[in-house]
Order: sequence, then C-alpha cells, then structure tokens
Amino acid sequence: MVRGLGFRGRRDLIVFSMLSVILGFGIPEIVSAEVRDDAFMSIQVADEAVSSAFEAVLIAEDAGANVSTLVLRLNKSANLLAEAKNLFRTDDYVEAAALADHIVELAHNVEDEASILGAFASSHRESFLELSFISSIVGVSAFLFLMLILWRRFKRAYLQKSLRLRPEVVSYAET
Amino acid sequence: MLKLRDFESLFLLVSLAGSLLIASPILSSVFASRTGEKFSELYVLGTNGMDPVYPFDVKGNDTYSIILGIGNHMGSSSYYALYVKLRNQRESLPNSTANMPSNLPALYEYRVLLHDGEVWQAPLDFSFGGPHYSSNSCALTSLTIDSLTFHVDKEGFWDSEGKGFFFQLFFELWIYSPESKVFRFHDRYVGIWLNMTA
Repeated sequence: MVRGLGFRGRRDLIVFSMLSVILGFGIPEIVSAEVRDDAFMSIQVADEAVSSAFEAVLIAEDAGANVSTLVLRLNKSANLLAEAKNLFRTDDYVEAAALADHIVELAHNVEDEASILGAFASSHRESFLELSFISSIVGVSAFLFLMLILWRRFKRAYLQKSLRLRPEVVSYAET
Repeated sequence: MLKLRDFESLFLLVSLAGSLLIASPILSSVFASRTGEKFSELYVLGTNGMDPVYPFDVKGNDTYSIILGIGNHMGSSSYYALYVKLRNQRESLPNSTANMPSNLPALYEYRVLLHDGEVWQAPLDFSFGGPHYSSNSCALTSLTIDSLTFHVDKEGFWDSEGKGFFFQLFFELWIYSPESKVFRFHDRYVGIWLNMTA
C-alpha cells in the first residue's frame, strides 16, 4: 500500500504520523492542565464568595440581626468548599470545579439575604437609638424639673422652720 | 443637724444618680463593650469522646479514628480553617512564640463557621499507604483521610531512643480576618504522635 504512494503521499503520511504521536502525548497533558487551572480558578472564586458572604453575615450580626439560619447555611457552603479543595488535592479537578460552582451560588444567596437582614436590623437599631435618646432627654429633663421643684419647696420649708426657731441666749454667769 | 448646704449637696447627688439611671439605656448602647477574654479552643479526642487513648502504634492500610473539636469564644461568629499536616521528627512544627504556622503543605482541610459559644466536633478516619522500610528509614506513600487518598511521599527515620519510626499528624487552626480579608494562623495547633510499625 505504502509502496503505491507517491512522494507527496509518503510525506503526508509521515507528517500525519508525527503529528499523531506529538498530539497523542501532548494533548491529554494540555487538557489536564487546563482542567486543573479551571478548577483552581473556580475554587478561588468560591473561596472569595464564601468569605464575602461571611463578612456580610458579620455586619448583619453586628447590627443586631438574628443570623443563626444564615450561619448554618453558610457553614454548609464552607464545608463544601473544604470538600472541593480536598478533591482538588486528590487531582479530581472535574468534581472540584462542579462543587465550587455550586458553592458560589449558595454563598451569593446567603450574602444577599445577609445584606437585606443587616440593612433592616441597622435601620431598626437606628430608630431604637433615636427613640431611646429622645425618651432619655425627656425623662432626665422631667426628673430634674421635679427635683428642682422639690428642692425649692424643701428650701422654703427649711428656712421657715429656721426662722421660727427662737434664738437661745446663753449667759455665762461669772463666778 | 444637717445644714442647708448639706441638703443641697444631697439633692444634687440624688439628681445626678437619678439622671444617670434614667439615661442608662441610651448610655449602655453608646458605651457598650464586649468584656471577657476572646479565644478559640482546638482539641483532639480519642474516639470514645473523653477517652484520652489515641492511636499510637499504627500499621499501613489499617484505619484509625480520632475526633477533632473547635470552640468559638471570640465574641462573634467566626470562620475557621483547620489544616491537617503530617511531619517526621526532623520537620518543623508551628512556632507559637512567633505566631508562625508550619511551612509544610496542608494535606486536608476543614472549613467551619461557628456562632459565639458554639462548639464543632468531627470524626477523622485516617490510614497510611506504604509503608516501605529500609535499614533506618520508613517511607509513607499516601495518607487516606475520610475516604480521600493524598500522595504524601514522607520519609521517617529510625529513632534509637524511642525505638520507632515516628510521624506526627497535626492540626493547625486558622481564622478568617475580615480586616485583612485572608485567613491567618490562629496560633493554635494540636497533634498526635504515631509510631509506624510493620
């Protein structure tokens, strides 16, 4: 069969064979590196998403919101993130990347809810502070006014009582 | 008998105390401070909970179990990373004085989010692949944790005093810092010594 080929045919066959050998060895490695890089990037994005969601949860918690459910849900995402990282360490890049993509979605949902909850708790806290501030000022003013009236009455009564007292003359008889 | 000036001071004192009492809700919210020491717990237990017996003499391909625990007392929710590392006697441990982690790579990790006051515990099953013995060394090829197998390529050397090939499986606790937006070593680690036997 080969003997029947011309010069061009043989050259093409040799080039084709060489390309097959080169690509046969090279392509799986290139694909593998690409899959690994993709998985690495996906995990990094997932890592940032979980961290960002945690920061949003912390802000909401500081504002006084009840974040129990959010922490539970984010904890699940964090567990999955560790699982994805561990799969990556065992060279299971496809599973790791798939898990990472799922984590990003979960973490974003938590972050959105934490932001809403945080904003609500923050405004609630602000109005509570305003109310406390106003009631404190009113309460303290009323109390001081009451004390002033009491003091005036007491002072008047005290002075009247003092004036009613007869002076006592004490004489010392010289002996 | 008390003089008018004494009564005046008494009234002023009562007025001040009463004003502070009435304004206490707003004052407490303005000057609120979290008191108490902030810290995290990290511990390792035997599989019977409080049983202090940990695996020590271990063989290749046999599975052993321990329990890991983290407690959050940081005053707010915290995000932890717990790294599992393996070392031989010649490799370094974390430096508590300098607050530096070990430079060995993490083989496995946990990520945990905890409320203030919450405690997390998880079982850890592990087994070693290999081991291959030569005259005075023992080489481990893999470490399997919770059904995932990691390539380790770790060599332990014969300890003539302890009469064994000793490896240490240790756990470093890291905590996420929202200020710097990275995990930093939390200056806590625990470990168990393992004697690799044939």
